Amino acid sequence: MLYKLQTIFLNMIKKPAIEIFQLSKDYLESGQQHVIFKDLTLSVTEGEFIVLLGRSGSGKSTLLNLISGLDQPSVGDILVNDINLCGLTEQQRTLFRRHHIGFVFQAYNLIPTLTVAENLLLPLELINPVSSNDKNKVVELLTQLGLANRLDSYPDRLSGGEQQRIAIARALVHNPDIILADEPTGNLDIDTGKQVLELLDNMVRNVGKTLIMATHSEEVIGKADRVFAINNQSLKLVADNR
Amino acid sequence: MRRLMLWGLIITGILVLGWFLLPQQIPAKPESKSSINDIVSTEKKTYTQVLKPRAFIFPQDHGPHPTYLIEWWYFTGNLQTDRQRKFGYELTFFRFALTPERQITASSWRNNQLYIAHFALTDVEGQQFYTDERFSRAGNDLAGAATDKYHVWLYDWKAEAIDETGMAIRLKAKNDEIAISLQLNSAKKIALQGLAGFSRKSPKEGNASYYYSYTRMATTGTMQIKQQKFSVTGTSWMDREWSSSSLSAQQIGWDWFALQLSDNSELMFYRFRRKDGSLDKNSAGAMFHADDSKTSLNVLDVVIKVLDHWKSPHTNISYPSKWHLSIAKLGLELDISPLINDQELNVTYRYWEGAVSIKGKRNDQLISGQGYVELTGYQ
Amino acid sequence: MRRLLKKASRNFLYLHPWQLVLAILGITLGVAVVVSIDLALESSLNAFKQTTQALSGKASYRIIASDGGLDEKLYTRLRVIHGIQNLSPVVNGYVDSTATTTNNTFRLYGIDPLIENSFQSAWQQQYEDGDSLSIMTEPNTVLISRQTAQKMQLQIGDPFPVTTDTGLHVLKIIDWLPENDAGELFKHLIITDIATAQEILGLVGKLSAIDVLITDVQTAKIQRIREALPADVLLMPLNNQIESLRHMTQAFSINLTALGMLSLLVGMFLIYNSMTFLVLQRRRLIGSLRSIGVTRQQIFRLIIGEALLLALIGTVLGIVLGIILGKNLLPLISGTINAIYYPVDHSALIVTPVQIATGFLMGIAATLLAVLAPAWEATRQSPHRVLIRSELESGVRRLIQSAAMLAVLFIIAGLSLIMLTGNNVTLGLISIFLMLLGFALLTPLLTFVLMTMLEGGLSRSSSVLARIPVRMVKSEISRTGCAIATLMIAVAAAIGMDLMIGSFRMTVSEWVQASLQADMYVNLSGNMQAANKSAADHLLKQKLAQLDGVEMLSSVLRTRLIRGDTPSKISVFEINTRSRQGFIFKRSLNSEVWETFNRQNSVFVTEPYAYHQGIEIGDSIKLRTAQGEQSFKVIAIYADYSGDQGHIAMSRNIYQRYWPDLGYSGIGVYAEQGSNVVQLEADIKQLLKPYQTVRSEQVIYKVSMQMFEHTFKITETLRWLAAIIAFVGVFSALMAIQFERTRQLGILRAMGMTPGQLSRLISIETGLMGLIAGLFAIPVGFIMAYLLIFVVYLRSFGWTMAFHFDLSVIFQGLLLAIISALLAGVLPALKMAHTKPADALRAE
Repeated sequence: MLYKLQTIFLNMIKKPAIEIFQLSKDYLESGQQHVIFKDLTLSVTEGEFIVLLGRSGSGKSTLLNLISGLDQPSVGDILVNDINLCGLTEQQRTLFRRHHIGFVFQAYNLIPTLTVAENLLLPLELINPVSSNDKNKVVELLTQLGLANRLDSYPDRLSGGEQQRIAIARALVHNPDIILADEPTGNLDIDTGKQVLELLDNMVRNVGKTLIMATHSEEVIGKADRVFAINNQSLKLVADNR
Repeated sequence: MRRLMLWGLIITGILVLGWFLLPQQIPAKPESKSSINDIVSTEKKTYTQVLKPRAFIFPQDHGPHPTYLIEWWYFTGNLQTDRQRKFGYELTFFRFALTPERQITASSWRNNQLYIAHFALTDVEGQQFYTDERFSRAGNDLAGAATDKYHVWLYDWKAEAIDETGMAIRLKAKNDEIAISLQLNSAKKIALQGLAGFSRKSPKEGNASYYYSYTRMATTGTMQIKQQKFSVTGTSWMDREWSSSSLSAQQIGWDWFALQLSDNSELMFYRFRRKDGSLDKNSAGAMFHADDSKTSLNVLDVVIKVLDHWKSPHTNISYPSKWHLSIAKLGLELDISPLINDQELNVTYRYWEGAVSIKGKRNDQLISGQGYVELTGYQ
Repeated sequence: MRRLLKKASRNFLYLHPWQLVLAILGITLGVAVVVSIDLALESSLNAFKQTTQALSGKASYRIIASDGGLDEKLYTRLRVIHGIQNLSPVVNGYVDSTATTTNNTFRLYGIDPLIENSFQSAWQQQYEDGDSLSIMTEPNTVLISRQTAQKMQLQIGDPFPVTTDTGLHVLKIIDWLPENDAGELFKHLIITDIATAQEILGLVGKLSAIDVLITDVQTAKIQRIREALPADVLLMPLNNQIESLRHMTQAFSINLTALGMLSLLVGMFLIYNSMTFLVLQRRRLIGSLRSIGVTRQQIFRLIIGEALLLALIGTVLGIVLGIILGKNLLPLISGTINAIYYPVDHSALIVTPVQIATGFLMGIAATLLAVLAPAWEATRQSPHRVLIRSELESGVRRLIQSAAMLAVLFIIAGLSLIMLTGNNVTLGLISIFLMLLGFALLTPLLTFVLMTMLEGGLSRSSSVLARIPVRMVKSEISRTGCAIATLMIAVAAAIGMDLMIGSFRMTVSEWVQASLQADMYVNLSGNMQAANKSAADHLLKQKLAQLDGVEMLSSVLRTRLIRGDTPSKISVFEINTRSRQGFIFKRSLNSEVWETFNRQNSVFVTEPYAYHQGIEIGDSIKLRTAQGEQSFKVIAIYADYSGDQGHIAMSRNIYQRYWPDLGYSGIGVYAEQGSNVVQLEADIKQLLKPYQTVRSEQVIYKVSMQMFEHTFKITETLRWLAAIIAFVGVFSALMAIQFERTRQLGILRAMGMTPGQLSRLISIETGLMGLIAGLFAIPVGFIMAYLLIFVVYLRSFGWTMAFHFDLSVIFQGLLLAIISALLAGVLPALKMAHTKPADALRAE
């Protein structure tokens, strides 16, 4: 039954594209209404690379969480391939995320109790029981990243750059349509950051996946299709390189 | 009539009421007194009444008369050592019938006869007065009196005839402090008080007792005070009395004198004190002469003047402590003084009973003597 | 500064109210169980002392005889011949009220109201309205407590029917007992005159005892009394009697206290767990505080201060709960004492300030002890950086190693303590605690090894999801290991006690069956001193022998004789060929033993008696007789589980040479082969008085086993209390563990793991923990059972029993472990599954 539902979903959302309509997000803290953003509207086409700029706490992460269905808006709609995430249940949003979203976090967020290979296998297993094919795919991917020798290492034995590279691999391994990256270089030194950005650029852009990256690193701007800044609770287009 | 009925009845009452009293001697409450009188007045009729003289039969009459409400065996005496160290003693056994009739059941403890004993020693030189008391039922042979010879006991305190005559009696009593072991030999015949041993105390029918005495008993033996032992000789007085009546409402107490004079005569006199302070005409007594003859005395025959008072430091009660007694028809003028003032018995029922010495004149001849005085009803 | 420090820390605590609640709960439950046991036990044990003091007042000695009682003339002799003062004769027994519904047994206490006031007995304080001496003169008049009378709707002057061995008696209430703090003691007391007591109880001519008031140590006086007493009468200090009762119940008390301590120990884990959580969670906060110049001492004080506050709240609540719990335990404990040791007349919980203070100190001390480690850890937070997990975990590896070494040390210490402590019960229990603690410390290592093995097994399967729970257990072993250890201890205790009780039950059952050789038993209980009892018993026995279908009879008289300066229980047997088989000898004996038993001055002793008194076969026992002391040779030791103090067994032939005939306590009836047993029982009933009973061997067996179960009720109850605390502990640990990995679980959710999958993951993890605990608990439980049987019970009661293995106990233990772990995991699993992933990701 569940499997059937999954296939139906797959069919429904084959052509991913993100549309955000009049999105507002606020929260209550000690009885006070805090507005993160208001009336946000954005449309992202397939394969596009979007960069979100903004100061800490401007709501970049929140926006990414909303797009992935990790969080829900106060007002407004988020449509991914014509599916309104706001109309889905928690379970449905999870299944959606499982298939279509790849996450890269500032703090890498690898599962510390799993080895590198296991970390990569996990997203695959969530979709289908692990096959030898999957394993090969993981090895292949890691070889591609130059980390084939760290297959059975635990994440905390790796450097930050290595960890982040593996995190990127994890985000891509199950072939999602959209990659969401939240300050992927935030914890890295400049050189390593560059490498990671390049990797993201190569591995995402080159296979035609949509990439939305929250960052405050100006370097990325040149590579992005569009650059937005979250400012005063709204989204402002800063650059359009299309 | 001597140790008046009320006396014993109050003791009974206090016992009946206060047998569970705490060790502190709590005086009987006023309302409990009235309740004794209630018990007595309602039940009095069922006890055997003393209505007329009787023929005493000995030794049976030395024994108990359990259908009478109250009875006692009363010993007092003045003793001294070879070195003239003077002592007084009192050993008394009281018997009370808690009910007129004894219910007999299987247990030997079931008994309606209550025995109380008082034991007091006066140490004149040491200015000390020692007292003790004992209680027991007659059941299980813990206390009682025999009918085949003079023998009364309460636990290990006893008065027991040495021979069949009943004229020689051994007294034994002791506690942790004091002890006596005395042999008493009556130097005189039994003295019947009142009218041949029928001692009337008020005109009311039944208000009387049977009463006889050994008024002069040569005494030898030993006594002990703490660790000190003394060989003593002296003279004792024994009273036997039983009755079922009590004092009238007007009589608040009495002063009783048992005096042994150096001319081998003895005087017994009791006087009731009335509430209004007047003389009670039921006061009476007798003079027993050296030749065993007897002169009865009534209230008008005897004049007693109180010469001094002593206030008890223990109870703050003021007792008379020196008397002048004169009997004109016998030519007798006596000054009576306690050997020591503090001879107050603070036992369950409080009274003063003490050894006294006598100096005076009989028909202008110097006379001396010794005896015991009992004072009750002082508040 | 300090206020701010406290505020910073407290604000954090407010965010985790449930951990605070659980920490407090740990203290509360631990303290409550210990306090309740202490209160209930002391109240039960003190009941005898208080009753004695109320009834005997300041009396310091007591004159007693063997069960033949004292001749009342002895009292007269002491008073009249020997002039001994301050004696209080007592006739004492039990009567049943026909009026009351529930507890209808009253102690009938016959006194002489005229004894010296200096005794100051509570009953001597009676003073009401002048009728009191009629208790002496009027038969069957009594005093009872006003409250009891009110409950029975009786007034002064009302009839009060009671039954005794001598039949129905209508007592008459003539007054109330004094109302004071002894009121509770007087609930089931009837005071009457000695005459009435003798008549009602059938003790005419006899006294139960004479209390003696000897003010100082008046040795001369004591000597005088001793010299005045016949050879078979004993003057013994009352304190000795109270002490000996205390001594008798000592093993029982220690075992109960140990069960309470188990609860406190488990409660300490709860505190430890909660405080560790609160410290770990504040690692960053503490780091920050240190970096702005807060000293280690200040951090330490901060944590200890928090713990003290929690301890204070928890302990106060624990004492309140303990009092409530104590009230409920009291009937169980006094019931057991009543059944095994001696009559406990009243049961009211008495709470003394000392006990409260002890409970209070224990609660505070336990908390501080449990918190010492986390508080110390808190001070080790370096000011400039937050330790990362792997460093913590590598520290944990070292911890596992040190724990394992410590574990070995504890186990060795426990074992050596067992070897070296001879018969000491307390030290035996301490060694069990040491070993339990040792095994608990071994748990992390075992968990680690098991999980590594399991991982190896799983590596062949390719599922990563399956590996996560195993890895979680393994990687967070500092926390999971603790929870597993707690659960393991609780389950091991359950398995150990179950096996022990099972073995004991089996042994007792076999013993009862072996002992019950006759087809029917007639119970002739009644006052031994009753004058006509012996004659009546003999007549009955004759009649029984003449009944149709009776092949033969046996008999027993249970009484007491004086050995040395104390009364000893003795069973006097008339044995036939069949009843001989009822004796299970602890050493094989030659066939002449029965001949010797019947003909010569010899005795058997029961196993507990031999154990407690240090008697061996070939020893001599000296018993007081009216003609002086006589020596009896011990020729056999036999099994007996009817009491833990044991007794001497003597042949009736021998007994009758020295002591008065007291009739029988019981007669065994052996039916002829093929006779109608039902008819026979009916025939026997015809011959009996209302208070005598006849019961078939099966019924006695059933009653005995019921009694057995009853005596273990308190043990069961306490065991469950410990289990509940352990459960709360595991729950608290799982809550903390799951909370700590909130972020990790958030990532999994972000990667597309559904709440259901997450719940399953956590459940598998907790189930695994339960499984480890259960698996480890099996051998530990076995060891515990072994130690309980062969160390604690042997030392406490002198019983040996066969170890009885029961497979179902193992399964139950395993199941208990897994189910409680799963149950404890349900709430954390649900909570985590339903945490918003966005919030979870934000968590530190």
